[in-house]
Amino acid sequence: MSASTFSAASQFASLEFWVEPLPVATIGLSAALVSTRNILLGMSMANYFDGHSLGRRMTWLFLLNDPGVVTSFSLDKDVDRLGYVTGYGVSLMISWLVSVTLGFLVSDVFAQTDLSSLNFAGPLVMATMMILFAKGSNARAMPWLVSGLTALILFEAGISDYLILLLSVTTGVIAALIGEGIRHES
Amino acid sequence: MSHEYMVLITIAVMAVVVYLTRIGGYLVGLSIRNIAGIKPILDTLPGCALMAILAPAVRQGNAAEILAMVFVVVLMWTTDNVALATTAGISILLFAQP
Repeated sequence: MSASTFSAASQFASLEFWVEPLPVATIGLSAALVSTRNILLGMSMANYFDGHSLGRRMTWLFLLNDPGVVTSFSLDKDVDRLGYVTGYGVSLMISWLVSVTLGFLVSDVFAQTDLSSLNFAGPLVMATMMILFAKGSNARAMPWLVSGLTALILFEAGISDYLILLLSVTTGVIAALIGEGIRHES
Repeated sequence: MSHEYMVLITIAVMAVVVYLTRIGGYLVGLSIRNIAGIKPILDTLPGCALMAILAPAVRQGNAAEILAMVFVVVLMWTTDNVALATTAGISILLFAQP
C-alpha cells in the first residue's frame, strides 16, 4: 500500500474503516477527501512542468509531494521543476518505505510505549514547509493569512476537515483575486 | 470473494483515487493557466492549503506542542535548516509533555 498509494494521510485515514468486510467505496472516498490538497498542489505546478512530454508528466506526477512542490518555489527559474519534484518524491518514497518496514519490524519493541506525544510531528513538519514556502515564494502573504483565519473559524464551528480545507482555500483564493485586482488598478 | 482479493482491490482503488487527485489538479491547472492574471493565484494555492491544515492543528495543540511549534518556526526562519528545526521540535514534544 505504501508503494502504490504513496500518501500517508490516505493510508492513515483508511485504517479508520479497515474492518471485514472491507468497505471499498468508503475507503476510496476517504482517500479522495484527504487527498484534496493534491489537487491544489497539482494546479500550482501547471506553469512549471513544461518542456516534458505529457506522458512523462502524467507518469512522474505519481510522485507529486507536498515538500517538493512547496520548496520548488524557492528555486531559480532555470531549474527543471518536474525533475526536482520527482527527485524529491523518489527520496521520500525510499525513506517512506524503509521507515514503514523498520517500524513494522520493531513494532513489538514499542508496543508498550506511549508515543502519542509524536502525533504533533506532522504539523511541525508542515510548519517547516510553510516557512520555506513563505521565504521562497514571491506570492503575497495575505491569501495565506485569510486562509488560516478562515480555517480557525470553521474549526471552531465544528466543520469537517476536508470542508475546512476547501472553504479556507477558496477564501484565500478570493483574497488573492482581490489583491490582484487592487494591484492592477494602482 | 476472498479477503485477500478484497484487500488488493481496496489498495488498488486507493492508489487510483490518490493518483487521480494528483493528475486532476495539474490538468485543471493546465486548462486555466492561460487566463490573464491566474498565475499569482495558482502560486498562492500551496500556502493556502498548508495554512488551512496548520491553523486548526495548532489551535488544538497543548502547551508543549505550541512551544515546539514556536521553536520550529523561529529556527526555520533564522536558519532554513529543516533537520535542525524538526529535531528540536520533536525533542520538545518528547521531553516537555505534561
